[in-house]
Amino acid sequence: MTALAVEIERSDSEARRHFTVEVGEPTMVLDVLLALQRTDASLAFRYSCRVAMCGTCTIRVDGRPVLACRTPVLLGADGLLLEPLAGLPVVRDLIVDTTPFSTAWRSVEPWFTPRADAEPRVLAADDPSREAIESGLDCISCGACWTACDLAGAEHRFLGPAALNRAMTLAADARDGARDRRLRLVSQEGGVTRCHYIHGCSGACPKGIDPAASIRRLRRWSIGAGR
Amino acid sequence: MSALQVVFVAALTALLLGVVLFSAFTVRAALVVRPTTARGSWLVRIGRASNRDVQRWAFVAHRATGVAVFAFLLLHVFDVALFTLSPARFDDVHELYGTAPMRVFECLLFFAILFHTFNGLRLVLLDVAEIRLSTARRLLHVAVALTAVAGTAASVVILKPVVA
Repeated sequence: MTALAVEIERSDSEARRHFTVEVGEPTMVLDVLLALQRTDASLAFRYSCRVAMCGTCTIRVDGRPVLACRTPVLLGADGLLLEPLAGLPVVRDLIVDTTPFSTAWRSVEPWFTPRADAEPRVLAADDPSREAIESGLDCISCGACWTACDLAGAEHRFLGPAALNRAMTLAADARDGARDRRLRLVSQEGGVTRCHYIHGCSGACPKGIDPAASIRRLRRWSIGAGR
Repeated sequence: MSALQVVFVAALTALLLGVVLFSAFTVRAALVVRPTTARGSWLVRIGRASNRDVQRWAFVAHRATGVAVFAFLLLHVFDVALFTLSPARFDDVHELYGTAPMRVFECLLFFAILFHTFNGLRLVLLDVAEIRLSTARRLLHVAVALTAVAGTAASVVILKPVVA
């Protein structure tokens, strides 16, 4: 076991920020947080599934947005800095209000709207559209891309990488009956044209998705549709 | 130095200062948007020097080099336009281009132009073609390599007269 110095950005300036915890190999950042909560019950953070499925435990570790449950602590590191996600209002300690993210997500109508006359009803395994759909389907709405995006974090008019990636996965499906409306939504101000190729989202996504590529694809489709 | 040359150097210095300030602004904007008290220098805080963040760095460099090239282009339009006023004044100012400090500046400018061009072509390619994330990063490596090779070769040509 090794002693690790941990610093946590707290919403209460009077609250304890510096901790020391004993860690072994392997230890995830979430394990560290759970251990610290036993010494300071006022420490607030979120988690749920612990297997990188729910996206609840996203925080910044040494400045980078990550899933706390899947980020190993490097033994021998000179310390660990834990902060809440950037670009979202802090509720308490490491908990943020994800309303701006959810509002953007909802605005692209992120549900599948089947066409009544859709044929085939099931896409074949070798259907070419599957590649585009499946490239963005692993999104767990954790908000890491939102924090890593300079635009989404700064001005909430931008829909952000996750919402646009979701819109792409739906618009790529030939059975989607809302494709035209979706393309119109993402072509408006704050949509695909606001992306500046920073690629922060693609570097941060814990699921390995490339939201920047989804945005570019969506932009091509929007232009193709005359939006 | 003639009065006209002093004016030119002063204008160039002001533009360079502007480019440095703009670059600092771009970097600062990246920090403000993602406020963090993370350890390490401000360079580390923009993005890690890892392949995951390499495109973020390219974005910052693309902006800085774009402004640098545009700023010099503005000045260059004016100094070339001097010929319409007087060929002697044009020659007077353009004598500066042969000096060692200006040649070093030209080398840096050429590196900026090359990176902005190659990275710009990469971005166009990303826009019009289906390119995977790993390929996009590899293309950036290619752009940087081409910049380094072509920039070094051009620098040898530019600096040769003063070095010799």
